[in-house]
Order: sequence, then structure tokens, then C-alpha cells
Amino acid sequence: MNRPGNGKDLNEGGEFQSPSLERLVRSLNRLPGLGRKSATRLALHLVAGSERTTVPAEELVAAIGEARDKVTNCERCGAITEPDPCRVCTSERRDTSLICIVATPIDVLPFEKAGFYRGRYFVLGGLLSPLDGVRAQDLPFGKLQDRIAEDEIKEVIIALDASVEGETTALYIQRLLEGRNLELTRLATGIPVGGALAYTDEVTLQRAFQFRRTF
Amino acid sequence: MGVLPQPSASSESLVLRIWPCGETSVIASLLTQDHGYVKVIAKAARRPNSRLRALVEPGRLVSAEFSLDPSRELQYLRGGSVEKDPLGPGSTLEDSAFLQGALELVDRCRPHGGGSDDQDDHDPTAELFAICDAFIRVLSSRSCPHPDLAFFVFEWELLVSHGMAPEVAGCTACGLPPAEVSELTMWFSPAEGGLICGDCSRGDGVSSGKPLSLDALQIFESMAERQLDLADDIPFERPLRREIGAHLHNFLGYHLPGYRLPAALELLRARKDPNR
Ligand SMILES: [Zn+2]
Ligand SMILES: [Zn+2]
Repeated sequence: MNRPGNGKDLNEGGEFQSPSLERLVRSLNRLPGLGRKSATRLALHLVAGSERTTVPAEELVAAIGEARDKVTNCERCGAITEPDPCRVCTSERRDTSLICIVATPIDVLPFEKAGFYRGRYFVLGGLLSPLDGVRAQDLPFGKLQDRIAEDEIKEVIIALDASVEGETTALYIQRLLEGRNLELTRLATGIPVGGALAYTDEVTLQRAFQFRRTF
Repeated sequence: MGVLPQPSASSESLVLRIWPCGETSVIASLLTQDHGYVKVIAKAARRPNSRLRALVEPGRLVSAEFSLDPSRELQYLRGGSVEKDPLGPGSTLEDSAFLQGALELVDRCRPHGGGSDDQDDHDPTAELFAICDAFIRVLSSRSCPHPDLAFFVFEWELLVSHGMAPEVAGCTACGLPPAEVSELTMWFSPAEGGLICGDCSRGDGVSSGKPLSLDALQIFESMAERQLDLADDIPFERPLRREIGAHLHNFLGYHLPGYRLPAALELLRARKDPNR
């Protein structure tokens, strides 16, 4: 094992001859979307980059700290926000009779970025998954029902994943809201815009076919 | 893509459970027709245009191609096609709950042995696969007016496949067929392995179990004879459903190691009243 040139005996700090750099890479590596390679590139940039091209470490640390302190989940809808309740919940220009149910706070972002939706949100914080131990009592269905009653909601839009969990949660919500005087709709599933028919899997194709529409 | 010089297999499979792996991959546990329980990794299956994506959704019957390297615990899912999607458009909360209930039971109560390497002809996992296959096809067809009854048939067959078929042709203690039982009361006893007549239920050392109605007995009889047509809209009201469900639950609990009431069945207690 200790043959010279093997390299293993030399690299206590990983490939860098620096345990602290190795630690930084490992921390970054634990972030979603960052493989070891990208984490290394980022770490080297932060540590070895010149002052002009990189963010000073103190600034980065302060920004993370401040965001963690101030950012919260809106107590009404669950979206990520600094003012609480969030601007969507307090805006006069939003249609209060419309509510869109999403699984996570991140799911609100594409809607807000696209800007076409004028209603409000309700973030479930997860999806029903009995196999993984996520049960009905773990999700805020009672709060959802209260909210729908209080705000006199006229349309509930379910915007959940087209997975078993998403499907199950949608069916569960449908059961909960059965008999109420409101419209319950779901996002359509099918071939993505710009998607090639030849590469569409059979399930997606079948759903797109079943929900085909007249011109 | 890395070319892996491994033997591979193609088998009809049921997706039991999935777990995310890394940023874009999925690990799936499959019950396969020809190779027993197999765990596969579907590389990059969570990328938008992945051709593996549709293959790793729990409850789907898929024709799967995967590596078959006995030295590995995790095989590579290479491709395949979806045969049946039980939670397609038009499915109900019942479909979803019973589907996931069945998946949970199949995942938890695994028969011993199985796989194509078995010497004798009886392959318990192939038999289990056939039971699941039948159940998923019934659910997917949307032609079954009582998904709960389909689930009970599944549970019954699960007992059969474990060699624990309840005896309903006659009293398990005295052998008297139900038609000749003089008393109206019959019993269903997990400990005795099935039907118990009224006389025997009072006998010493007999565990009588719970009372069995005539309607429930008839359903059990047709399950035993495999004569239940699940597309038939037979009368299957709530009290009978509850009775059948409870008998099977007790029986499974007594005989099947690892059994417990599937968590998914709790979904059916959805409450409409916000002020619980
Ligand atoms: Zn809000
Ligand atoms: Zn008897």
C-alpha cells in the first residue's frame, strides 16, 4: 500500500493536498445538482479565484445567513416568501376565488415566472405516499378545506406530478371536496410543447390521446 | 453510454417501489415473472425525455429488459415497454388505495425460494407474479365495479400461493359441508384454517374465530373455486365488504409472516368534514 507513486498515501486532503479544500468540496457536493466535478470547480473558484472574478467569502456567508433568517413559508399558502403572508396572498389583483394546489413551494415558481395565473396557491408540502409512510394526517388537508370554505373558492386547480403519489393525492383531494359547489380541475398531461412524438413513451401518448381535443 | 458485457434478461415485471437515486436516477424494486424479486437502477430516469421514466412507476406492469449479473445486488434497467397502467385516466381513489395495498403486501410478504434457478416445478414468485398480473389487469380494465372485491381475491390468492388457502368446503373440525350444517351460525377461524360449524365452535380447544355470514361464505366459496367474475356487478354492500375484509385481514395476520394492514387502505377513510 505504501509504495511511492501510488498517491493514496499522500492525499490526506483528497486530491488537493488540502483537507480544508476537500471539506468545502464535500459540503458543496451535498447540494442538489452538484456532482463532485462541479463542486470542485465551484470550490476552486471561491477559494483560488481572484477578488475581481469571485464573490468574497464573507459576502456569500452573510447572504446565506440572511436568507436563512428571513425567508419563510407563507402561513396562508405555504409559498416561499419574506413578507408573511406572501404578496400573492395579499394582492388585491389576484382572483381570490381561484386556488392552485401544488406539492412543494418550488412548484409555485414556474407559475409565477410564466405570469399567466391570476389566482392563489396552496402548497401541500408533499404528496401522499403510503408506501413511504406519508399518510393523510401528515399533510394539511384540514387547512385546505378550511381555506376553501373561508375564501369561497369557486375553482380548485390540482397541479401535482403525474406519478402514483401525485395521482393518489389528486384522487384523495377529489374525494375530500366531493359534493362542494366548486369546479375541480387538473393540469392536462400529454406531449410536451416541442416534444417529438416518436420519443413519447406509451403512457404519455395514451393520456394525450385520451385527452385529445377538437380544433 | 457504457457498454456492459453482462448477461441480460427480459421479463414481464411489476414495479413495486421506487426510490430516487442521485440527481436523476431511480432505483426500482420489481417482481418479475421469470427472475423473482429484482432491484434495478434506471439511470437518468428522472430526466424529462428519458425512455426509462415510464417504466419505473409503482403499480405498472412492464416488459422490462435488465442486466442479470448474479454478483450484483442492483441490476441495470436497460429498456422495455409499459404493458398496463392501472392508475390511468378514470381511476378512482379505491383503485389507487387497493393497488398500493397490494404492492405493499407483495413487497413485504415475500415467499421463500423462487426465481428460475429453483429445481422443482413450483416457483412461488412466478405464481405470485401471476396473481399480481391478474389483479393489475382487472384494475386497469376499469371493467371491475368492485375494486375492493378484486383486492380480496388478490388477498385470497396470496394466501393460496403461500400454501395457506382457507378451507371453506367443510367444517375444518368435523368436515361437515356447509349445506348440512343445521345451525345458522357458522364461524371463520384463522387458527383452525377456515370454516367452523356451530357445534364444533363450542368444542374444547377450538378457536372459533368470528361469525361468518352466508353471503360471505358464498363469496369465499366462489373464491376457492375461482368462479368469481370480477366484471359482474354482484351485490356487494358495505357490511359484507367489511366482513370479508375483516376475515381476510385476520387470516392473513395469523398465517402470513410480515403481514400487517396495508397503510394505503387508510386512504379510503378520507373525510369530507373539515371540522374533524
Ligand atoms: Zn401566500
Ligand atoms: Zn364441525
